[in-house]
Amino acid sequence: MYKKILVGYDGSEGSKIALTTAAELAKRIGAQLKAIWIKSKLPHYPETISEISEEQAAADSFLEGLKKDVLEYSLKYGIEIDFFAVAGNPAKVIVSNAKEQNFDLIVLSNQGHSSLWGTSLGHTADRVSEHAHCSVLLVRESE
Amino acid sequence: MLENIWFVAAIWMGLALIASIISIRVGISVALIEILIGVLAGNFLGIHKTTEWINFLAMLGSGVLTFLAGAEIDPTSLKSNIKASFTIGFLSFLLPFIFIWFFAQFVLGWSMQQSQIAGISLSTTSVAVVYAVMIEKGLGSTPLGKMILAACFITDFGTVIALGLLFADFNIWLLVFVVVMSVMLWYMPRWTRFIIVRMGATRVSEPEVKFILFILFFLGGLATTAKSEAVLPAYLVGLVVAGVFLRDKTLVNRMRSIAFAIFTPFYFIKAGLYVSLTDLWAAIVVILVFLVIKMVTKLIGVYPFARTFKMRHKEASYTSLLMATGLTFGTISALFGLNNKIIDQAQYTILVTVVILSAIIPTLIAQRFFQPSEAVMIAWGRLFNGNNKSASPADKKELETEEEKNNV
Repeated sequence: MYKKILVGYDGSEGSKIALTTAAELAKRIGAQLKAIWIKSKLPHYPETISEISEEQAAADSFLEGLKKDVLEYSLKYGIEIDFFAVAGNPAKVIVSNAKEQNFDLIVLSNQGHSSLWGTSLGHTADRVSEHAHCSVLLVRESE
Repeated sequence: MLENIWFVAAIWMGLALIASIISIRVGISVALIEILIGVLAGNFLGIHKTTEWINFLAMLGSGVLTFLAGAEIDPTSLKSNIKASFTIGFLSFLLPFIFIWFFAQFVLGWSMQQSQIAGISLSTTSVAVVYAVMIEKGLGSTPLGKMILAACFITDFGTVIALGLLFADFNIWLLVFVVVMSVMLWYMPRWTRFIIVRMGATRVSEPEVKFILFILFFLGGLATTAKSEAVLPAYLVGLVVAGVFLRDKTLVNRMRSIAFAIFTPFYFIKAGLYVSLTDLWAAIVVILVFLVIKMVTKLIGVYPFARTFKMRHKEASYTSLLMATGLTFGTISALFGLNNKIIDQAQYTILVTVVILSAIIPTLIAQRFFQPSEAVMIAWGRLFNGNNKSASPADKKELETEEEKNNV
């Protein structure tokens, strides 16, 4: 059965359902669970330094909120959930981290914050399921 | 319908909104996207002219942006390593300015004033672009990182002085402008502190923002009366209140929000609007030659002194390439030339294209081939501020390891 589970978490309703599913599954089968947030890269070629520093401050503050959420899930389900954030292309980062850290299951929501772009560019979840080395569980919001 | 001021405003704000959405998605600054949207609007959407009020908002955009650029410098960083940052920054302005001026005048046959605009536009650097490149790898707060940022600031200072003085009328108004500005600059830090302390930085009536805008508009008025450029006092006012702003980020963030929401979209879209793709294609060779001259002259000006200031080949190359970036002041200088009918649209197209390319190409080369490690950039500070003998064994080992990697 699965020993290491990676779940994508960005605070969206969909990702909360994914985290719930991953936490329940990890508790039931005794697997290790890690949550990952893919943060946006800082803007390139800015006009002012404050553009960068404000973006960074906003990202840090958002990250703190996500950490609190994950801690609450951890306490609720009585399991340890590690949480880490990486900048970059969401699908690429999830696939590469899953492979590098030997995860054997990735849990994602089929809809995150990027639904507007997902329609035209292909959802992160679609691309992860296409390129991941391990199994991918796509959790629907209706669940 | 297009004569209706509301519809015109809606079209411009709509373009700015599209630029913001694309910027968030692709991770490139909104300013650069707004310029590109302006290029598309001017060449394909038939938006060829601006109105008085658009020009006014664009002018405020360039003024506030310049003020912010001055206000974002850390005075302490500027003072530490002043010798290295001043030498590198000054030569990074002077050599490209002279070479490009002479190339445009004597090889391309541009008039002297047109060539000077070219020299100023392409001698600039971009503190913000360099900061963004370094912050990605956590290098912005290292001693070498701070020295490079301070050097960029000195280069831009040279640009602003050149733009403010080269085209000014040397008459009584210039004297009045210089005297009044000097007095106001002297008192600005205490006035600003007074307003913040006495009236509070959180009042909804925003007295401190209005005070800064009042000073900028008044000095801008004096500058333009003397046929100088309003960005000169804006940059200097930013510089003298930088220390106050460093302690109170609320004011600078508030001014940036106002500028980015209302003023700068008009400035950047307008800057892109006058770039003609037909002219760009016709002058593609000149554009590439200008870009090469900019990068080579920056290298000639910066590299030897960087080596003198105890940087090795890799760090000296990295520093030279970062000093070759450009964006804000390059476009401001070119638009100043176009607005004052010193350069024509074809020349403007050439200069703005080179400026945009210089924001991208040198940074890509620097990051790909000459990216130093954080430890080396910290070690440089200890080496430069002490000497080789006082460098710790760890510093020396770090530098030797890096040297070996370079040799491999």
